[in-house]
Amino acid sequence: MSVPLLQVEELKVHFPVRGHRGQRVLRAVDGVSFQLSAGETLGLVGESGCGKTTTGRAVLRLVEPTGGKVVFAGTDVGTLSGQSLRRFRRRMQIVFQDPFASLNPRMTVGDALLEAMEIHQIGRPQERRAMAQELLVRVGLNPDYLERYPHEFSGGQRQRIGIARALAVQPQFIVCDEPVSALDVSVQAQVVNLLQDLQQELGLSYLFISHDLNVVRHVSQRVAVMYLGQIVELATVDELFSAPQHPYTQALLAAIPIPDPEEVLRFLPLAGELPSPMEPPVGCRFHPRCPHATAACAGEAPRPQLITPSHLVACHRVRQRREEQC
Amino acid sequence: MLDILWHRLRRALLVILGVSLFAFMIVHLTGDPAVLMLPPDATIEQVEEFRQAMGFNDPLWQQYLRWLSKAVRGDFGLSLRHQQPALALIAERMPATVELTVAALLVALLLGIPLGVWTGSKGNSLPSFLGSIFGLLGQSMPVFWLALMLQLLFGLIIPIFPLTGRGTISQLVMPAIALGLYTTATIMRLLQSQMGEVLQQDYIRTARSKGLSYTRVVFKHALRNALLPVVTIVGLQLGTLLGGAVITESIFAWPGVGRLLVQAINNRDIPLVQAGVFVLAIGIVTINLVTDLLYTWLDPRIRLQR
Repeated sequence: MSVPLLQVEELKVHFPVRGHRGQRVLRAVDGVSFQLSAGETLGLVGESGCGKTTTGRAVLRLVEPTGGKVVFAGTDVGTLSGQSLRRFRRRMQIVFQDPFASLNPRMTVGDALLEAMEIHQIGRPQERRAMAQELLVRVGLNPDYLERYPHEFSGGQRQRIGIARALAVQPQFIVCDEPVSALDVSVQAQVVNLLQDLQQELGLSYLFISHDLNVVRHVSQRVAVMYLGQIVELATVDELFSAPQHPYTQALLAAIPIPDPEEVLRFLPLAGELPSPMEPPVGCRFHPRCPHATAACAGEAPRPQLITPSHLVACHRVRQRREEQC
Repeated sequence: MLDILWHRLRRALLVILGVSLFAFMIVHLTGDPAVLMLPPDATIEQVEEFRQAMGFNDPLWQQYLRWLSKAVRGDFGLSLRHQQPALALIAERMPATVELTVAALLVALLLGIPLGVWTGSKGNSLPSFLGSIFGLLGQSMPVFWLALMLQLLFGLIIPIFPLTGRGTISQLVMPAIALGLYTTATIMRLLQSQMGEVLQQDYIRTARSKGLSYTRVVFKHALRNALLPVVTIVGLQLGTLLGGAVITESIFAWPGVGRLLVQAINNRDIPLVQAGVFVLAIGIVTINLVTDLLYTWLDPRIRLQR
């Protein structure tokens, strides 16, 4: 593998929560590591509340990480502050989930795009309008839309504006935080295709956060599965979908509805609810819900292990099975 | 835009018509107008003669139309006490009231907006706590009490400002603060909660991800969105300020319409009361109309709708 564009090591985000039982800590992200190469898409999946979004925001330092390291193109993002951080934001952008909430209702599309260009002094002042129009064309919108306000657009159009806004500063890396889950299914495909076309043309890297496994499978080269603030499995798309190793991944994949009444359930469905990230289970965080859990699982947290050069799993059972095979 | 203007103007006219009916009825709701207007020692013949002359024996609707047709031309009759045209008396006192109201509004805006932004952008912290206390106090203190306390503290104990009267800037300070503090507190509280809410929005995160500085995010992206409800409140509060001026003017012996109106009520000077109520009502309706239009200009989302 070439030198990674983005390297995340043991990223942690803990939120203090004050309740009636005194101050407690919510471990939204608890030791997440991954790498991303230039031009690559890494899918990040998991159920609601597992820390996907917080991971994405912490990488961009929109949320302050509690621990760990984020290195982007050789720069430790954690050491930046004030103006240097703001300048650095040009290289890493984000597309938010809700295109209705993420655009300032009091600014025209043009204002939103031009502001970003002005801040980072992209292009000459007199060229910027033309550049903004070009951006709109690039994301499949009419260049005349520059004068319009966000409320005049449909959800899909707004998400295109959101993408244009992210592109306005010519970033290398974009966090796509559930970019299509607020959209109609018919529009989802268009936006996903747009993101892929832009990636090809501009050589962008994506961290693609989603709970929709079908979308992730379509756009990603590699996929990371998160559970309760940790990555339990990380592999190439083919390996993960054809030979999932972690029981949680298996359960997730089994939950994808297949439009065939003859199809039998391949894996055991999950029991129970997602435990609170304020009191994560001791040992393997998944063991209270795992159909294969043993005493060892409740004792010690499994370390992530490479089972092939491109397949990482954190599970005692997988490790044992492999040791038996050897 | 013209469409909206016309629509709102029609409604405003309707309100003014309603107020005129009310102002007219004051005369008939407070007893026999002829007896009220004449001195107590008038003979029955004199009263009857006066009633004929004033047309009080005609059907009410005729009297109303007659009164209204004069009123729209600015003729409310002579003030019983001053023996001068009522409207002229009001007009003469108007600048003082406008001066006080504007000064109070300035106090409210210049104090309320910065305080609201400051306390609202700090989250759960000491400034926001102190702001809440100030807001609560400011909204709970009645104008008459605050005015008296100000007079006591800054007029007598530490005599920095003159107690009453109008003419110099220093005479304006205390009435303006007394009248404006309630609105200051209202604006501050509203803006505090609005800022808190707006700063949680996704588009604020968008703005931050663009690499904008904190100040720019707060003032350009958050404030513009948080200010909208404040505009409405300021519009409504202007009416309250005009009305509140009645009490403040009386306490500080401020020679404005409010004080004149109180005196007119005490003297049963009906033409003057009618003229005063009518003029103040038109003022408030006009302010609300302007607020409405300003609102559509500020919020592009409203522009499309009616």
